[in-house]
Amino acid sequence: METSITNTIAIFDKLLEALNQKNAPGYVIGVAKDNQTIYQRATGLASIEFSVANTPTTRMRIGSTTKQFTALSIMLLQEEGKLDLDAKVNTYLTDLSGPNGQATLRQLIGHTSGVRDALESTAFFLTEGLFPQIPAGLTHKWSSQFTSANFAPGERWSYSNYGYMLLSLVIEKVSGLSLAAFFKERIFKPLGMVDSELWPNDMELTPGLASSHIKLPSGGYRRGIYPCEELVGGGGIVSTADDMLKWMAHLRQPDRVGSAATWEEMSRLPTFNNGIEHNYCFGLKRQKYRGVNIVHHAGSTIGSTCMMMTFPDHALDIIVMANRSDSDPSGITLKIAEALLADVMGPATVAAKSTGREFLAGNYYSPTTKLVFGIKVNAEKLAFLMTGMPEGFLKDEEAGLGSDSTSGQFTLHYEAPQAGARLEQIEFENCGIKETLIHLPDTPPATQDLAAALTGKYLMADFGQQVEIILEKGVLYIDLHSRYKPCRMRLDALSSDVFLFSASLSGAPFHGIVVMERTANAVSGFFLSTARTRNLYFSRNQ
Amino acid sequence: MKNDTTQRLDEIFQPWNKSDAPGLVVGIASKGKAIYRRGFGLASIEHATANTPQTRMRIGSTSKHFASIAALLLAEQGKVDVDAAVRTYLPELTGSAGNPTLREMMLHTSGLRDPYDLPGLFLHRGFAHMASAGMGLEMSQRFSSTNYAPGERMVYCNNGYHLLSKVVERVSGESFEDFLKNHILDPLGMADTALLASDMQITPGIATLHLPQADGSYVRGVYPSGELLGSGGMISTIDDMLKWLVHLRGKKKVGSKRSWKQMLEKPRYSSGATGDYCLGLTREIYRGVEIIHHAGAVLGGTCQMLTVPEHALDIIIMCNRMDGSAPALALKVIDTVLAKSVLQAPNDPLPAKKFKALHGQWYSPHSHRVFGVMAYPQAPDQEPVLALSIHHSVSGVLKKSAGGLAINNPGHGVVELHVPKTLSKDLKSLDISDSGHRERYVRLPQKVTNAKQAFKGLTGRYRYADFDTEVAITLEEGTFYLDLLPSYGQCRFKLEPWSDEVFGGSLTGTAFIPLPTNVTLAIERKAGKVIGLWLNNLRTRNLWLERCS
Repeated sequence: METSITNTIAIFDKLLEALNQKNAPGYVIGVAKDNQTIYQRATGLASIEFSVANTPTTRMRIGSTTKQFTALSIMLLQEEGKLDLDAKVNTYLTDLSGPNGQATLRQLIGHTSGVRDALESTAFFLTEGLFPQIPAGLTHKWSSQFTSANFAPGERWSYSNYGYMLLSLVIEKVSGLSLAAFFKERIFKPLGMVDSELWPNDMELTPGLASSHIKLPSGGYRRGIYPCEELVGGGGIVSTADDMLKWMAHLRQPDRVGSAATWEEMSRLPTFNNGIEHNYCFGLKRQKYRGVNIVHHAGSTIGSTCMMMTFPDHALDIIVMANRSDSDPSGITLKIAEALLADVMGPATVAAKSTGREFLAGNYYSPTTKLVFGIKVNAEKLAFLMTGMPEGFLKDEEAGLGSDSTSGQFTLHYEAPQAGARLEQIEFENCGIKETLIHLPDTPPATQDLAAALTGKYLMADFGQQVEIILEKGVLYIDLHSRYKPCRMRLDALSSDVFLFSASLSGAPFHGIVVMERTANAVSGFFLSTARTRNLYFSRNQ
Repeated sequence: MKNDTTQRLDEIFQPWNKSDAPGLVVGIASKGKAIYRRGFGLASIEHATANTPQTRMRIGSTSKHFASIAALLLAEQGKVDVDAAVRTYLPELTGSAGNPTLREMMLHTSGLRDPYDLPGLFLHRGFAHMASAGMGLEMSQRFSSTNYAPGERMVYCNNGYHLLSKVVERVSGESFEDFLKNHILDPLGMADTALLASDMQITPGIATLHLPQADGSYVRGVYPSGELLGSGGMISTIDDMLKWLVHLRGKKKVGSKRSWKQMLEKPRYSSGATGDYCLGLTREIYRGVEIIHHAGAVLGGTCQMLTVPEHALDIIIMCNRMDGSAPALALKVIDTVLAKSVLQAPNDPLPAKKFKALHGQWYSPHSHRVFGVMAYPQAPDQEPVLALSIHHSVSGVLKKSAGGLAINNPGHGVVELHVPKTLSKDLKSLDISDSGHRERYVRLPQKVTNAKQAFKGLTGRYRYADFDTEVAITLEEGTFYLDLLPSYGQCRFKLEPWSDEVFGGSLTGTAFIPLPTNVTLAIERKAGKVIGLWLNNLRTRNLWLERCS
C-alpha cells in the first residue's frame, strides 16, 4: 500500500505541477484513502495583493458544495420533530403566499420544486440592467412576488439556488438559530470541522480566507465578490481540505451526526411525481463514473470553485478547491481518482460521433413547454444547447442519445429521415416526461419582415417593469429603457416566433430564448427563458 | 533627527500600533531627508499582513493635483487651452455641463453638478453598485442645470476632476493611467505609484481598505465606481510621495515653471474675493507658517499630503481605515517636529457659549442657502466650540476672521459671518459671505405652529426630470419624510421643519455607499399651492423636484 501511495503522490505532484504558479491564484487539494489522508497540497497564491501563498490549511469557499449541509440540517430538525420534510414550505414561511410556497421541503432539496429565483434573469430587469450588489433580503422579497413557477412542484428538475435560500429561512425560523450558528453547533463542532463556517458576504472580512479571483480575458485577475450579500444555504460555506476530508469520512460512515434513518433517506434516489428516479439526493449527486459509484457535488462562486467527490466503495475521498475562476476542480478530481482506481474503472463515456447523424443539427422547439433545444456538429461531435446556451456534447447512453444538462438528464428519440429528407421532429424525454420538439426552419425569416408585428412596449408580469422591443439598423432589441445606462438585449430569430436573446450581465454574456405569444394573429406578449427560469411572461402594453 | 522627536511621533501614532486592526503608513522628511518612516496596524485582516513603509495605499483626492499637472502638461504642448470650455474637448457635453473651463474645474468653481452626489442618490434607489466606465460622463450629459455660474464660487466637485481626466485621455490618446505613468510617474521614478481605477482590480502590495463596524468587525471598502480617475483614483507609497513633495518644493523635472506657478496661484472668485484652493492644492497659513496640502478620502481610508515649504518639512500619511483622520494627524506632526519658536499660537476655535445669539439656522429666501451655527463637542472633556453647518452638514469650526467669524474649509472655501458689533439675543438677520458673495440671511424659527395647516398639500410625488425618477414626501406619525422610493429597504430623509418653508433633512435607512447624509429642503409655492421643492446639500445646490401628483 505504501509503495503505491508514494507512486501516487509522485503522480499527483506531476499532475499539479502545471498548476503551480507563483504569480497566480491556485488550488488546495486533499485526498484520503481508507480514512487516512494520503495527499494534501496547495498551489498558487491565496492573495496576489499580499503575496500570500495558498497552504494546505488555507480556507476556501466551497460554493454549492454547501447544499448537503443545508439538506442535513433539515433532516436534523425533522429528527427533532420540528418539521416535516414533506410539508409545504409555506407551512414554515407563512407569508410565502404565491406558487413558490407550494413546494415541499423535499422538493426544494432535490431541485424539483419549480420555484422561481428572482436572482436569475428577473433581477436583471428589475435593476434595469444594472445588476448591482443585491442586499440581504431582496432576493426573497422579489422571489415571493411571482404568481407563476417554472413548473409544478415535483414535476421536473431544475437547479435552484433560491430553493436553498428558502430552506435556510426555514432552518432559521424553526431552530431559532442563525444558519451560521446552526451549522456550527449541530454539524461543524460535533465533527471537529474547526475551520468551517457560513460566511454569507464577501464584503465582510474573515481571517485566513483565500481571495477569490476572476480571470480577465486580457490576462490578470479581478477581485471576485459575489453580487449578493447573502450567500447562505445554497453556497456560503468556507472550509479547508482537512475539514472536508473529515466530512467525507463521516459521509461514508455516519456515526456522530444524523440518525441511521436520516442517512438512509438521504442516500435513496428521489423520484419525480411520475415515479421516475433522478440522482440529485440531499445536496449530493449519486451516480457512476466509469462504472464506479461516486457521491459528489461541485461548487462555484464568483472567483472560487470546488469539487468534493467520494468513491464510497473504495473509501477514496477527494476535495479540490480553487480561488480562481479559470479552474477545473472536476477535471483534477477525476484525474486523481483515475490515478488510484484505474484498474477498477470501466471505459470512459465518450461524446457521440456526428458521422451519419448530421441531420440532427438545428434548433428544436417544444410547443407544449416552449423549450428550445439546439444541436450543432462540432469537431465530429454533437454539441447541444439548452435555451440558446451550449452545455456539452451528446453521448450514446444506454437509454439512447442524450446527456445530463441544466434541466437534468435527457434522452432523444427520433427516426432517421430518408436520404435527402429533413428531420421534422425529435422526441425529448426529460424527467420521465416526453415532449415532441419541432425542428425550426434552417433559414429563419428576415428580421425586417418580423419587426412590425413585434415592436412596441411590454410589461413584465408580477412586477410591471416596462421594456420595449425596437428595431434599429435592421436588428431587433429588447430595450430596458434603463435610467442608469443604455441596456439592450439583441434578438435573433430562429423562427417567426422564437428568438435567441443576447445581452451582457455585469460584463458576462447573458443568453436565452424569447417566444412570442400570439392571440388572434397579433403578438400579445412574450415568454422569456434561461437555463434556470422558464417562461417569464411579458404582456403587450398598448 | 533627535530621538526625542521620534519618541513623540511614536506617541502620536501609538493608537494605530495594533496587530489585529488596520492602521496607517506615515512618512516624514525634513530638508529632503526621511526622518520617520513607519507602518502601523495591518494591511489586511484577511491575510494577517502588516502595514510597512513599502505598503501601497489609496491617496484619494490627493490625486487631484496630479490630474491638474497632467492637463497643464498638455497645455505646455499646446494641445489644450485650460481656459477653454470643457465642451471643446468633450463635445458630447452639449448642455450646461460643457460650459466651465478646465481651470474652473480644477478650482472647483465650475458649478458642475456631481452625478455621484445628491443626484446619484435618486438613481441609486437603495443599491450599492459599481458605476461602470463611461457612466460619469454619460450622467453629466443629463444635467439640465448647474449649481451656479462658472467662476462664481468654490464648492468641492469631484465630477470636475473626473471630466478633466476624460479630457486628458481624449486629447492625449492615452488612458489616464498610462498618461500619468508615462509623463509624470516614470520620469520621477515613482515606481509604486499608479492609477487604480477600481477597487475590484487586483494589484500587488496594496492595503485593503476597512470600514469599522459597530461590533468591532470590518467591512471591505469598495468605492462604488469602476472608473476612479483624477478625482481620486491613485495609489502610492510613503517613499514615492516624499519624492513627489521634494519635487513639488524644488527643482522641477516635470512641468514648467509657468505650469507650477499656476498650480499654486490663489484664485479670485466673481465676487472679487480670493480663495486658498489652487489647482488641486490648498495653500494656507497654519500657526504662522505656510502649508501646502491636499487630503484624500476613499471608502475605507484617508490620506493627507502636506508640506511646509519654508521649513522643508514633508508629511505623507495614508490610512487604510475610515476612521484614520490623516489631516488631523498631519497637523500634530507639524506641532511635534517644528520648534515652538517657529510656530505661532494656534488660531483656536471659539467657545460656543460666547456666541449664543448666533446659534440657529440662517436662511436666504433668495438663494435657499442655509447656514447653521451651533455648539460642537470637539472632545468629551472640553468646552463645545462654535461650528458652522452648510445645508445641515457640519462643515467647520468658526474662528476669528477679518470680517467677523469664518470657516475656511478646503472643501468649500471661506464662509464668513459678518457679526454685528453688538450681538443681541433677538438678532433676526445676519449677513454671510460665501466665497465673497454677501447675502442677507434670516433666522429660521426652527419650529412650526400648526404644522398640518402650514404644510397642507405637501405630501405627494415629485419628479427629478434629469434622471427620470420620482421621489415622495410622506407623513408618518406626525413626521415628514423625503422618501427616495428605493426598490428595497428604506432610503429616506427625516425632515425637521425649521419654518413653514424650510426643512432640515437627515438620511435614515440605506447608507452603505458614501451618500450625502444631510440636506435642506425649501418649498416653492404658487398661489398657495406647493409646486415643487428645492433640495440642497453641501455639494449640490437647488436641485428642483417638481410636483407631479
